[in-house]
Amino acid sequence: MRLDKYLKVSRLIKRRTVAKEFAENERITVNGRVAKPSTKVNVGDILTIHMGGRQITVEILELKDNVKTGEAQSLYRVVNEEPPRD
Amino acid sequence: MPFDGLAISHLVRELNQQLAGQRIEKIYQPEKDQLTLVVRQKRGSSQLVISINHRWGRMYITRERGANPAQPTAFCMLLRKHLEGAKILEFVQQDFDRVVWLKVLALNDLMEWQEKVLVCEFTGKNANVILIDPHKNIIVDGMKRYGHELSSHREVQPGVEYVPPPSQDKLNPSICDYSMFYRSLWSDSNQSTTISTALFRTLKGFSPATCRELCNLAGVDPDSPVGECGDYELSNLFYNIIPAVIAEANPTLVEGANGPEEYFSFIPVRPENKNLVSYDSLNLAMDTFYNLKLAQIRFESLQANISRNVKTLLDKAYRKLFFQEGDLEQAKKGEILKVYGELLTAYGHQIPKGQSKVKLPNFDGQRETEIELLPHLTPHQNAQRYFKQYAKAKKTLARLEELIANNRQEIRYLESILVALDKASTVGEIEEIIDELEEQGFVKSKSRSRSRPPASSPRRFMSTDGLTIWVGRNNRQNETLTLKTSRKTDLWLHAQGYAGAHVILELPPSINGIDEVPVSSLEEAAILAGYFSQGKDAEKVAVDYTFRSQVKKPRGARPGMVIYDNYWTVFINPSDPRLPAILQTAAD
Repeated sequence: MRLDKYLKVSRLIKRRTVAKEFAENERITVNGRVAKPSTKVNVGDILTIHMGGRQITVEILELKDNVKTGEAQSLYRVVNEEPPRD
Repeated sequence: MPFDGLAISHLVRELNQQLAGQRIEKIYQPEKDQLTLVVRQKRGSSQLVISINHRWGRMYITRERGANPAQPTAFCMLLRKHLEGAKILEFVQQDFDRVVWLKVLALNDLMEWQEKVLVCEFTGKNANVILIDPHKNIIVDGMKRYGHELSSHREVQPGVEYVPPPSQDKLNPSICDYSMFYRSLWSDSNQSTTISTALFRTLKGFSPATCRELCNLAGVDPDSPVGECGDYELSNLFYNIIPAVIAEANPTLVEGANGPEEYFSFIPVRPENKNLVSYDSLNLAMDTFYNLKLAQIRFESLQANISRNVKTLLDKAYRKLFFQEGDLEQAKKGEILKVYGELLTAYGHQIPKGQSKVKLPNFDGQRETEIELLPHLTPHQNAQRYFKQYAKAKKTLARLEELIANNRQEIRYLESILVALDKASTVGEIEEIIDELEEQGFVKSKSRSRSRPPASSPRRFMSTDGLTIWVGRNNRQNETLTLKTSRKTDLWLHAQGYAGAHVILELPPSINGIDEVPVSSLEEAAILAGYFSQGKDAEKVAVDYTFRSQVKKPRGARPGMVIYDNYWTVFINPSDPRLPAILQTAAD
């Protein structure tokens, strides 16, 4: 699945266009390498997203095209979050 | 005092004290040229109004909560996207001019804080609010967009480079020195220019009205020519008055008999018969002043709008009348066609076919009339042709007169509306007039959510026999009463030859024929039908009555119009002695 699409369905980022922008601005790494919006992601990949002052690292658990409201959280596992959410 | 550089300099100082470091919570655009920014503060929130009205451009903190339109404009939505949640950094006045930069720190899509600037230009009729990205100096969007076809100086379009409004090549009063001031005051104005105008042309940030007040403060007649002002007056103005009004704000309202009339950021010379009221903050003074002024502005613009609409309608009606009267003149000439036809009928046997013209003696035997003929028709056919044309002209005449009468009525009505509009003194009065125009179909009714009074129901009476009598209140109600609510077996009554209410006499199922209807009830219902009609003052009114099943509404007829047959007629006196007793039985 495309990286931007995954970010959108997992609701890590609200809109796909924004997800694309994040990737284009080199704010996202997949397994430690800077990713493009079109980079393919798979189960088990480690994503790191730089959002302003925060940095979130997640592991992909599942890929899904359509996700219902409650399910989005189950698509990934948060590995690390800096600074931690209070 | 117009919202000039001087007022802005003081205002910006106040705004920085009150709003710097706070967050913009909400953004509204209550009017095309006005923004309201709701800024959260430690205690509650405050509303910053930014208006680029061409006459009343202004920016201040208001206490009144403005309206929020249900459908936000595109510019408003854009501002919400970019500025909601933004931190206000500071307000910066640009070089003592009428331009304020509202600098904020806002989160962008990448969740990073980014500086953005809302440029508020209060430059008269070219006033504008523009959101720019200060790092790239690119316009995000403007409240008023325009291109080079409107302004050779700059474009205001998304994505275009931001260019500040043209500078006026005036001196900045807070940094220039006396010799520059003196030289510039004398150089570019000829000796007969008045001192206040010369000041206005020399110094940045002072409106003509402010300049006049400054002259008054310096004890100089604002209308005296520059040539007559000596060094003493000018140096007094330059060294004492101007620095004083720049340095310190003394917000003051000039109050007349009807409340505040003007605001100043300094203490002006007191006009005769007026009071000066001091305020702690310019915001407060401006809010007080504009709250009153705005009601006046709204009223004036509403009045002007409706008057313009009515005048357009009236012009149309006048033009129509002009043409109708021309047509009428033309149709009146048709009388002669009848004479032609008659002459041709009388003398037709003497005229051979094929002539294109004939002279015939008039019936009075005195003169001759020349009549044009179509050569391929016989004289009799020609006569028929003239009769036909005459009949057409006669019909036109009748129809035109009706149309002209209608048009005249319309004109009279519209003229009376104009007078009423002119005489109106409150917004409410004008709204009533608008309502009336909407009802008459002159103005398209706006989908305003108006609290309509609940629909009334028909009048209800009781006959001496205990039968219910219904009387409709208006056309629409008559229609519902007759065609919807009543039963087919009920009795329907209406005054003959008059406009009047429909009356329904409810009959019990046991009554099968007209002979079985109790006479007293019938008469009472008939009296009511007479009373609730145009003929209520007549001695005798004929009231038609029939079973409801005989009453029909022709297709497409106006509300309340019905036709009926198989009816009987009774004559009654609408002011019958029984009337008061029947009216007594009215029940809601």
